[in-house]
Amino acid sequence: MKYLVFIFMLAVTNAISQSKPPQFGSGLSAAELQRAKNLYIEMSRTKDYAIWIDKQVEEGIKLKQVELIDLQTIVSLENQDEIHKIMRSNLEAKLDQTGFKTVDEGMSLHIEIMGLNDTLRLNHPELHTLLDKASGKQHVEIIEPMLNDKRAAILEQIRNQ
Amino acid sequence: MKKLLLVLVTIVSSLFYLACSSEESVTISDRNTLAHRLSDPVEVGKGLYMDMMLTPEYTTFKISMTAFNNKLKNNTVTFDTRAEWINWIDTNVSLTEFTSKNEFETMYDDMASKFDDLVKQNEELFDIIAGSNAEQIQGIHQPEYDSYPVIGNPLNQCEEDCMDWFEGVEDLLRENLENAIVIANTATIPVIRTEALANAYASYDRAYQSNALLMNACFGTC
Repeated sequence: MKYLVFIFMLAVTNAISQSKPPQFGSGLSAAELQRAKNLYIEMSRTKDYAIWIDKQVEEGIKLKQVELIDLQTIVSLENQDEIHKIMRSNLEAKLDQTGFKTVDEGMSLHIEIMGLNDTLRLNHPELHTLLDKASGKQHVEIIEPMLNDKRAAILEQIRNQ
Repeated sequence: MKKLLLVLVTIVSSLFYLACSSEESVTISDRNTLAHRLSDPVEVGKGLYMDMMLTPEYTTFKISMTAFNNKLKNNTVTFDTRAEWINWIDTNVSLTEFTSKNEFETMYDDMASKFDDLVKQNEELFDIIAGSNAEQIQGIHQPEYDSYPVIGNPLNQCEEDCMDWFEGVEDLLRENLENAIVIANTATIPVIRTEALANAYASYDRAYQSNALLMNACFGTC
């Protein structure tokens, strides 16, 4: 009987261990960090990446500093629909402070950006595995090309209006 | 502190355009999208050149090159190899401000070493340049002659203070982004984490833009 209990407990412990969520941000070695930086530069040469940047810039310009949801609220939620529901509600309330003509226009753009995120993750699995593992500081180092592109693109788009 | 010189003056000049832009007009021109620019090698090269101009390696190389050129005085000579340069300085040191052949060699080697660093850090750009014709190379180098400042052009004390302040805030914004990513990483559901990261990036962009506007205002008081 004792043996059976042991086997049962072992099985339960194993099941819990297998269902444990992925551990993000545990940190990269120096070699992994360099690899991630190189892979990010490779990704930054793709059309999907360029569209992703442009859409983010467009969203930023049209939102005009309006924040539709804060970070702490996002991480406290358990599904994406809840996030979008809050964003939609806040956009309805603040639509006249933004450059969007309708709430649907704003939400469609955000959903398109999330879709592009998924595409990039799917097409660049090794990079995203490394990004998942990177610490906050390492993550910022890796995404430096994106930060540069967005700064330049935001200023250029506004300049050309 | 000087490492941010190029970044800051670029921002400041861009913000004069910002201030003049219409808040109502938010349409995005296809011609100016990153997607369009990526299809043109000269535009890709120009973008990479501008990125390079924002790096510490570029700034240190330019400082080294400016110091070397200043000592050359008005001697508009150029050679392909180190040996040819050494051969020239052997008989012409008195025409320059170099105190000796040894000083010339030291400064030349320092400049060459910094250029090697620049090439190593910007392999993609230099590969594009290597595969370009003269006209394309001129296009890629265009940012060098646009609105960017000449290294060594001194700022007044007030502008220096603005830059010190801006640099401090910039460091803080970067730290905030790192912290926001740590918070995003606490999400255990991948799709929630993706939303959280997008939120962290967007917050950084908003803060960066606000900070740049304040920097512009600071320069306006000088």
